[in-house]
Amino acid sequence: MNNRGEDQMIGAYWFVIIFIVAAAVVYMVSVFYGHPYDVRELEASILINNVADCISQKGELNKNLIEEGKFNSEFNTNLLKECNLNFNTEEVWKDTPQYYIVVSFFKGTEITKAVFSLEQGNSNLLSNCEIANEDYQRLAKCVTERFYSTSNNEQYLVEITSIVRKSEKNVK
Amino acid sequence: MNSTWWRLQVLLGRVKKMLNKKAQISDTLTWIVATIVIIVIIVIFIYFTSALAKAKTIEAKTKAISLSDGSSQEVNWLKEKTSLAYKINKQNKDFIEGWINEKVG
Repeated sequence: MNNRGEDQMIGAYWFVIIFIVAAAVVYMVSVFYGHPYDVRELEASILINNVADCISQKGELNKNLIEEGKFNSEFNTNLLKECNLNFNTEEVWKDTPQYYIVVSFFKGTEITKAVFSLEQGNSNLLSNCEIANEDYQRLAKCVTERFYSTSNNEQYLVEITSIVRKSEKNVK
Repeated sequence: MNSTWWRLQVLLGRVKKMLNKKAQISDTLTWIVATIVIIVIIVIFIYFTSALAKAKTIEAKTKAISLSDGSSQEVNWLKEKTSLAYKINKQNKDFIEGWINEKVG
């Protein structure tokens, strides 16, 4: 009689332990797969690479962008078309653009003031870049890259800042 | 004689009960320690899972290019663009490199 009671208690104990372990495994799997991959920095880098490809080829700035030292302002208006870019997003964000790109050109070693700029997208996202804190994961991601290019043997320094928001799909 | 035998039986019974209780205490202690160990391991696993889940960020500064021999190589796209521009004009190279490598933002 005593032995049977002991067995029953150990059986119940085992059930409790198995339940705790199973619940922990389910929780861990849901936590791991419940968090989305944050690909905004990758997306911003890809955007920078594509814009860089579009404005500079073989070490020289695009002929449609600059000719005989003069920048073509039309290029800015048609930037998305010229660079085969599409800033369309899912229905969720149809009213607020989720991308912003700004390209600044500096001539020679004059890095204090840009001689020309290209920009497209939602410029309101720019304010997000000023806050560099891990607690603000839901803010847009900003990536800035620089490179060097030429045009008619003149030197140009190019700085591209790309911003991607899409926080709802990348951060939980 | 009979009463002595009886007393001895009672004494033996008490000793057996005491020994039985000691065995129960040691069994219970083993189970409690085992439960604590299981729970601690689960908590450690949950902590690491949460940390790993938070660190799911993908970054890439390189781009894979296909070479003529069929292989591919990872290159930093913008560095390559800068290198090509140096082939045309490499004046102020140190200044340009400094500006490019300057931490932005």
